[in-house]
Amino acid sequence: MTLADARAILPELHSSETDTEAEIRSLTLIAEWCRRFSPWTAIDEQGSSPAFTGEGSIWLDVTGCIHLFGNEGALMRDITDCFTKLGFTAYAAMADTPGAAWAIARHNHYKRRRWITVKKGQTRNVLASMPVEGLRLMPATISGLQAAGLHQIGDLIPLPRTALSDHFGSEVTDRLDQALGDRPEPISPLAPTNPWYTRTSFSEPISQTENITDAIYGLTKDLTSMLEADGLGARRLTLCFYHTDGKVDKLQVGTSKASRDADHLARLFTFKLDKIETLFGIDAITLAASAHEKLSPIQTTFEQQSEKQETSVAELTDRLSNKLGNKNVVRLSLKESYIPEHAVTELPAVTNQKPDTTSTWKPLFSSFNRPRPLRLLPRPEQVEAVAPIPDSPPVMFRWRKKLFKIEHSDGPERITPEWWNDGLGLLEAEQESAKDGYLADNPSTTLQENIRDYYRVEDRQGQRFWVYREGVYNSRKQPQWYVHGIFG
Amino acid sequence: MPRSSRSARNRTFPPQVKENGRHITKLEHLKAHIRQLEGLNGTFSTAKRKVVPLGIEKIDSRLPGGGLQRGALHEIFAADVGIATAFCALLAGRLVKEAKNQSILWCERPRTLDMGILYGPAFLQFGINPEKLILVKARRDKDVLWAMEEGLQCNKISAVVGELTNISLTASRRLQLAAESVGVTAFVLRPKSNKPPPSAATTRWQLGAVSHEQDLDSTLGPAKKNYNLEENIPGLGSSRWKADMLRCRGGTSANWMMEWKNETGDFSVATKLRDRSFMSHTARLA
Repeated sequence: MTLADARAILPELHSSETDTEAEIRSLTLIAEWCRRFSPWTAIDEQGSSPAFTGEGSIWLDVTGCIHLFGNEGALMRDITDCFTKLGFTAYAAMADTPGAAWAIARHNHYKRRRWITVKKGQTRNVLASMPVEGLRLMPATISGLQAAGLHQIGDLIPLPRTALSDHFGSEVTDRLDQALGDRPEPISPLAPTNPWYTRTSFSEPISQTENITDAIYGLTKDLTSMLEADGLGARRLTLCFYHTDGKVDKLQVGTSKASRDADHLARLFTFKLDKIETLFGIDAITLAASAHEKLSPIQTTFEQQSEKQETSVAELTDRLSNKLGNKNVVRLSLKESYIPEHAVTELPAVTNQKPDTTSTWKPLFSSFNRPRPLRLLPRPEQVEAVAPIPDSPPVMFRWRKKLFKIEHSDGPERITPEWWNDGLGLLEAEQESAKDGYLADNPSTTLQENIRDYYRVEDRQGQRFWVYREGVYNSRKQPQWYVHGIFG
Repeated sequence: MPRSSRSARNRTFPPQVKENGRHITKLEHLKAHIRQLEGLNGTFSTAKRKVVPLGIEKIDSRLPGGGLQRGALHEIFAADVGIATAFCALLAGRLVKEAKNQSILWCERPRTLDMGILYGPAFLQFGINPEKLILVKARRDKDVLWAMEEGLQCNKISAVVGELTNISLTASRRLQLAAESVGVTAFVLRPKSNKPPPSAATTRWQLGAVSHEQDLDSTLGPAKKNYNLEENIPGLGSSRWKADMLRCRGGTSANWMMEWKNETGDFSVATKLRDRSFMSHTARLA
């Protein structure tokens, strides 16, 4: 019906133009709201345009989400109920392909059901009874098909594809293939939006470092005031530079502690500015807090200085790790292991992990019982050693092409592999394999070979080393000597 | 970093120093003036220029102010890497003990000394909680210098240690001034060099091991036979360090033989066996 016909019937009819943009906006809002059902939601921009029926539609990829609602029917009922409560009239359909779901949702009204699910593999049968409008075709194409006597999708399926594309172009065959699942139709989901986001654009492109720095200070100030209003502090920030030549550069910084200090955050970025090439200038800069944490409002006091001190170690590690890399600024942490090089691990100073405070260093490493060197070689270095058998420290050894003659020594401290790892664990495995006849030898050889006997030795020059012998002497194998550390 | 208005050059010459109402002798007068110029006994920021006594009379008496300067740069040359590291850790441990709950920033550059990486558990014997250690792993000297300067700006850090192959006079002056401004103490750990170029460090040390030949040599003089008694005892015994103070602002160079007792965490100047009663005066560090 045209507007003129409608006016003839009802002269006081109120009409207004379609506001496509506003419709898309509200559809986007609905699609975002639909993330409660599935994380993969998108608006059907093409299918919702006024060229079709004028009704909006939203895609939901519910793969792997159904079990959260019980079954398919429960999910569909939940979706339609929720929309009804919001004041929308919604029809939902679930099918193997987006095309089939679209057709069924829009042309299933006559059954007076709010939702329908098509069983797996039934798509072709259900589609066959649908009108050709269900294929998301342009109105001209639809009238052409109807003129040719093709009213239902089922009429199109047996026709040769070449004949169809000759008459109607590739549109019909493409849509038909998509609906039947012969051609993939991916759904690209909406990008999640970040509410803690600011931007600034420049009337003239800027390229000088001073100007960029000023802009960054302005942005961090804006962002921190937004975060403060929400009682949050930033843990990770992303700064994007939009260059005039269309390039986009990203800078990311992390903080070890939630922070709202605009100056501190801006300073973290300025360390990295030399990575940005401003050949043609920058049009716009955006700043977003990609990770944040709760940070209760800080009471301002007269003693601003003392509060500043508390955060300064965190700020220092932020600055260091943002410039030198997260893995290069570390704190030491204990690990459960007898093997010296495995007993201590390095954790990045800027991390989300809470340090393990349950284990304490003191009783484990009292210097009297278990002396440890100040400097440990990351990998024990093999040496040529002369040592009396069976268990004595070396008399001399050659390390890094230098000969060291030993005057004094202390030890041994025997360190065996952990039974819960490769020590006895491996032994059991070998015992089993010995039963199978793979290993006829004494099964305890592996354990014996992995034993380390550590000695502290002092050479004639007064240098002190931590050396060890791996394994024990037996007829089969000569144990090897290693240098593992240097004492003070 | 300019030295602004508090520059020693702006002060009037000669300062009118009075002691007990009487003018002190001209020589003393000039000495005091020099000290003032050097900023050791100066009027400015006295609170920041505290010293940390090492706890050993013999060494402290040679250091101006009776101890190691805080808020200054100290350079340590490693004739023996293990011992120089231990000495560094010992001094840092003294600084941490003064101020509770403070961290140490240690900028490692494993290729500089080429003797492995720091091992946390060993720091306990020097009174340092390994959890309070922030390790920076740098690949270039430039990065170490930058990280050290950043660390010196933070007053929650009690000591900054940097492993460096070379340090120019300008770089050392920057570090010295940064250390002075906030009061954080800086240590530079360097490999041994025979002719080190000048630097702005307040003290320069060289730490090495005492070889067995030296031990039997003149160092201990007539007591060597007695000292040798210990050689017959099985086991390692205490570790002996040869500490040379090559330079000391406001003091003279000196050298000592030190002893580090691993078992007790005691540190002392090695003495002859018949003087062993002095051992009781040594400071407990850990």
